[in-house]
Amino acid sequence: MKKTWTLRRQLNILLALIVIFQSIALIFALWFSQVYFMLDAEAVRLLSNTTETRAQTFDLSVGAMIGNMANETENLNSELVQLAQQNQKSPEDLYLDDDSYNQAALVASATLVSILKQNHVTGAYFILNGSNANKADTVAHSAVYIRNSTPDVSASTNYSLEIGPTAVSKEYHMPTSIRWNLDMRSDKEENYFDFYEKPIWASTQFKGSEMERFGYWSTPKDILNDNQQVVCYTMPVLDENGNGYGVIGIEIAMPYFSQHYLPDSDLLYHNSFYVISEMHDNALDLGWFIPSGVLAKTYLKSGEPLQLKAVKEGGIFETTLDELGTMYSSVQKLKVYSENSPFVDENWTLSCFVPSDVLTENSVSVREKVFYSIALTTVLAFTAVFVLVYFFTRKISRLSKYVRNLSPYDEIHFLPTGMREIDDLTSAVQLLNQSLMNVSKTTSKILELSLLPIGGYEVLDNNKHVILTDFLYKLLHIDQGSLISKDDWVLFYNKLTQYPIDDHDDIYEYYDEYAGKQLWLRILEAKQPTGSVGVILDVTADIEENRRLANELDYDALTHLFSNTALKREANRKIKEEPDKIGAMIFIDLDNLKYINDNFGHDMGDRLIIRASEIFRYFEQFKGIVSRISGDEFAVYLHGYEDQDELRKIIEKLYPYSKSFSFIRPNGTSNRIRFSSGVAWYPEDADNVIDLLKLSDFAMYEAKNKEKGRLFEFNRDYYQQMSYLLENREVINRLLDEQLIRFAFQPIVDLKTGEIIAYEALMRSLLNDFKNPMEILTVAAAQSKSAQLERMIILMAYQTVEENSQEIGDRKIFINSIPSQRLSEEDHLMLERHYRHIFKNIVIEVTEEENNNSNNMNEKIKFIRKSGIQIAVDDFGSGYSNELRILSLLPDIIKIDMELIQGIHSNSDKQNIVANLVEFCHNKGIKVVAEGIEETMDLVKIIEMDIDYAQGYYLGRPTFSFAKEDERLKKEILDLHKK
Amino acid sequence: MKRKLKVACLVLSMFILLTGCSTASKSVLDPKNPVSITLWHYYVGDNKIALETAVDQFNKGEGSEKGVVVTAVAKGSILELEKAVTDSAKGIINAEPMPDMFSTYPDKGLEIDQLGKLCDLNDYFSKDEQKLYITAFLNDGKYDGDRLLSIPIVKSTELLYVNATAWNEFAAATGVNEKNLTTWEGVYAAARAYYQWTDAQTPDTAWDGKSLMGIDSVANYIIIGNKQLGVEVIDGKNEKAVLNHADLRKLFDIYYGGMSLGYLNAVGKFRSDDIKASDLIAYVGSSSGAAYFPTWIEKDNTQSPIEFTALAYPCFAGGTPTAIVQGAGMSVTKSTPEKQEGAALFLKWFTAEEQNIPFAMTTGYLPVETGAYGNADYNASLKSLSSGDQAEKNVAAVYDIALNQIMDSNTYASTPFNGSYNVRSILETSLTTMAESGRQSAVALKEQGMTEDEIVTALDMNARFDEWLSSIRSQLDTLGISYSEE
Repeated sequence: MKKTWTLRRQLNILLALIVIFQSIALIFALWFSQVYFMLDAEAVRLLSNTTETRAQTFDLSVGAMIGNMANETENLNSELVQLAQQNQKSPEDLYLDDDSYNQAALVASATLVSILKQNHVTGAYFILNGSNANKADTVAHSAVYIRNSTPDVSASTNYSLEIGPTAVSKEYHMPTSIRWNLDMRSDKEENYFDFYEKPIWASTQFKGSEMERFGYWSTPKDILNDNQQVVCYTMPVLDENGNGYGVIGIEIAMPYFSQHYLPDSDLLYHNSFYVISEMHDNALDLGWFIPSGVLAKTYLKSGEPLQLKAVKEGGIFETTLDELGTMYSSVQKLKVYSENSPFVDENWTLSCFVPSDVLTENSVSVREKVFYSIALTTVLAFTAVFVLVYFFTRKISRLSKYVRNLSPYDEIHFLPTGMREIDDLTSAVQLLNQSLMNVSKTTSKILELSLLPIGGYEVLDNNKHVILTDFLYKLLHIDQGSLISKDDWVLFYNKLTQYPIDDHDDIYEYYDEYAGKQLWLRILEAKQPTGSVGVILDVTADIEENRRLANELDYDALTHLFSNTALKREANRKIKEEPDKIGAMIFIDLDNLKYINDNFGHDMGDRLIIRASEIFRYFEQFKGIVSRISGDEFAVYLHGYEDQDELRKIIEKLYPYSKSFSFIRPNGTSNRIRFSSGVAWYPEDADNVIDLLKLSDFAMYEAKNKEKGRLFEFNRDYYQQMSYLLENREVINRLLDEQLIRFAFQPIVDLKTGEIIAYEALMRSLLNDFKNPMEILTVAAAQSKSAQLERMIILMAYQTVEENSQEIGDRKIFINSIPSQRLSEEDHLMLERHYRHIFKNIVIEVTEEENNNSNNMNEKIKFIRKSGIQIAVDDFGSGYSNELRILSLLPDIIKIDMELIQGIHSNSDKQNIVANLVEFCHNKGIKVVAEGIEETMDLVKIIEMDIDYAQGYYLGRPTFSFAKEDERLKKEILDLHKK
Repeated sequence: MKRKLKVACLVLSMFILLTGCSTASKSVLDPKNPVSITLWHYYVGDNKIALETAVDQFNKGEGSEKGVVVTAVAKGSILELEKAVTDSAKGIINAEPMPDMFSTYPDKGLEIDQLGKLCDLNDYFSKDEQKLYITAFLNDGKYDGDRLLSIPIVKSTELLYVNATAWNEFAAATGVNEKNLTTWEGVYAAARAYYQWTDAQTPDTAWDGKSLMGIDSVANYIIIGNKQLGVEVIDGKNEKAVLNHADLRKLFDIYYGGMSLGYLNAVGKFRSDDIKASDLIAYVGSSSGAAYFPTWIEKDNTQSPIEFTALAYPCFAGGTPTAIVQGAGMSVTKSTPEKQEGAALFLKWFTAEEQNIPFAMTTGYLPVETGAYGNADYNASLKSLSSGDQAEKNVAAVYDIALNQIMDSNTYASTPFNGSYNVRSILETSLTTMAESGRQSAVALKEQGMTEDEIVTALDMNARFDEWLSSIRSQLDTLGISYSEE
């Protein structure tokens, strides 16, 4: 598939590329046009101009000064010539006479003061050819030397007299200086006096020339020996013949020279400076130089020529200075001498030095700024591109977003984008959608008209929304056609399918909260490659019909309590809803229903049940499920508690509550309704309803057995011991109904003859549920079925005896009778009618029991005796029987319990008891049977003790057929008698 | 997108933080871009050269390291300097721009400060740095209690200079001795005696005697004279002038009388010039002029060697010996932080012992840092001066007296107040003007052949004194300066 990009991205990339190309083009254009280097050239031109201007200014002011000096000098010359004439002397001799010297000094002072006033100089001097004070001294020269410490001020207030007579000081009110003197001396270092000698020499060379031609500039020197470097310009003082006899000059002190002639204010660039020096062959000859300031003094090395390299026309040079690095220098020749001056070779050159990096600073800074500007505008352009593209494409993006979020039920209303092509497209789509919607509506309508409460939905993987049919909108009470997102749908779906019902797949119980209606829905969903489709069918009517039928089974018709099945279902539901809570199953059994039924009839029994049910409805206030299981059995299930104690308190109040209910018997007596009950806990004892019922039933059973009319909680130990009682409860009914027992017969042997004189009929169950006959008896007793069991055993025994009468012959059959039970009168009559002929063969075994109903026993014995049936006392000596009771019964036979017999041969106590018993019985005419003979030694002993009969495995095991006599055994017994 | 925005914000804030930190530097000076400082001073001659040399040294050394270039401009006398500064400060047309630092006397400094042009140097001189200066000298630059408006540069006191050669000749002839020169009354008597003695040497001509004595600073004479007699003419505390008639009369009689009769004189610009021209043989003047006292004088167009004696400043009889202590400091103009710091840097450097001692000793000034007086170099310099040539010995003799006066604390400097500068010049000019006219009158009277008593009577001293007083009063009134009379 071809890779697609959004319109926005394409536009962004396109416009960004344009911006980049434009920026690059700009950079190239600037590069090729060399704009920055024009700036450098401009800087150099500026430097050159400033230097040139400074040189011109200097030339002008020096020129003016020289002109002024020439005038003053010429005036002085004539004044002095005049003075000499007045004093009748030659000018050369003026110094020799005090008076004329003083006058000359005053005249010269006037000229000096005039020069000082008119020119920017720090001093002026007049030197004569000899000394007035030391006339003989050839190196001494009378002089007047006036300094002005404030050359920029025209007043003479700051003049001081360095050299000269006090007359001058007084005349001009001028202080004398510290080094004030009368003479100047020429005997200093070489060339010291050049400012005197050179102009006079020049005047001799070019006699008659203009004064300017003789002027001489001396290089910086400390003329007055006061650490002050000064530059001097001197002109000769000439007599009328043009012969020099003195000089007049000015001095410019170096600091003032810098300040006034080479001012810093001129300098355009920092770290730049001027210097005046001689220049030869492109090298500044720094033998002397006049610096403009501290930089020049610091970086220029006195005495070392500084080589310059010409770099451009117009006196631009390049050189290197230690710390300042590469320097540009603009050089201008100064005009300090006339062209015809003999000193014109001493060229004075003004150089202006600027560090090259300072000079090019501007262009560098402009380059940087241009670069940053380009970078910044590029960034701004990018931003503008993104913003504009965003706004331009926003309408289209919005449109596509709108379309993506459309539900098929929506009517489409595209917002106009203002772009014709796109708007045409959208209106076409709008039309198409309209027709599609119509189709969809038609389908929906058809479904609706079919009257089936059916709806459908479609969840598509690539769609954020779910498509529903009208039915579902109605079902979920959502506005028709509104958009349902997948997330919302999951919530709806979960709500719909929250309560699946147990008995039908795909059907869910759904409570329509909005309409307050209980609904049942069949929801079917099919997965498809692109998602899933589903159908939801309202099956409420069907389910309600089903439920109505089921409901009838749910309630007990008599009490309107829940039925057994309803109890189970509802209890199950509760447990399922809140599996973590505590619950209790209470099993209740009315204690005296049977009595009421028997004595007052079933109507009265039903009334008792109804009345009792009212008691148990006590639990309804605790949301208990109260049900009648069957007959007199009720079960209540309580659930949803946090702990047993809380629940136990509720349950225990049942008995006090029940005291207010009474039951009035037809005979007018008011009785309390008694019931026994058992409790089993959820989840401690069991976690399902079936087991809870079973265990609570067992607890009730225990109550019934141990203390009627009480509530017992389930006791697991006891249960494990007695569970069979419960488990075989139903089995015993079957056993009784279907008479599923048979008899095994164990021979009883006559110890005199060794012959079998009787068999004991031992009940055996045909069902495997009972391990031994004892269990059958216990279960039957527990189920109050002892009477039925007794009746069945007795009747079946009689029947068996009769059926086998031929085989039995005149041997006797011992039948075990249940001590507490007796047959009814009718049964007795029936027995007499049918089995009277076999009464002689029958021996009824009875057992003494602790809580024996002596009344029943007596009645029973009475009947047996009346019928001529013999009575045997079973298990004599086992604890229940005693001699007194035997006396009162007057049995025909006593069967000594195997407890006393087994091991008798070695136990003298047993021998004594048995011996006494035998003696007692024989005295009364009662035959004695020894039970449990299992070994020869015991047999030997009992024969020896004259016991009549014996029974036991040694003598014969119980079998389902009548065992034949064992000749070997017979012989053994007989042999024993012979001894 | 949000995350990009956050990054951008972070970068921006870091940038601001970094640039914020970098500006918090201690000094505003930049060696690569040195600040140019203009210094106006009133030094002339050797002092000027010494200052220029020092400035040069500073520019090459400390200044170049820190980025300060000082340009020293001599503005002539202190009067001219003060006028130029005042004009600049007031912004008078054609006045030069304010210098960045300038020499100033305390009373003038106060005036410039009132124009709001001075920088409080407490911002640049820490307490510890201020402690280096002699407290009294530093206090001269303090105003309003604490504002430090100038830093002392050098100080001087006044003493009595004597041409010992001439004096000794006179003393030997008349029996007057140097002790007569300890009081003003003695000085007057000696001057009178000298005049009469010299007059007597030419018996043919009357009234052609020579003057003994000159006074360089008449203002100081009036201020110190009053002070010696217990009055502060310039009462800085109460911001007024105090005119004590009795004391002023004593001062007036000596100066006016002496000048009129020619016992005292003032010819050249400075009295040292009058010594050189042998117009005087003694004068009271500043120790800073020590170097100007000559080793020879011009006599008949030739050099005549002289010897020199330095004596303490005379005291009025019954007064407390007191001499002036004076000297300009330097103030820094309010300008840019760079210039202010640069100026302060120069002042610290210049007043440090290493620079201050040689500069002070060029002409006889006193250093301003306490440490200088115990400094080995200083003492060695003094020692070498006293064993040097004649000129140096002269200077050493002046230091002897000057240091004595300073150390004995019998020096005085008036406390300035707004207008005190004018009081000073009014006192001086009014007296010198009176003396000038008195002299002219006396010359005329002398030509008439009057005797001394006759001339004095003719001059009418009482009337002249009243004239002087009223002249002072009217000038003070004109300027609105308050004064009291006693």
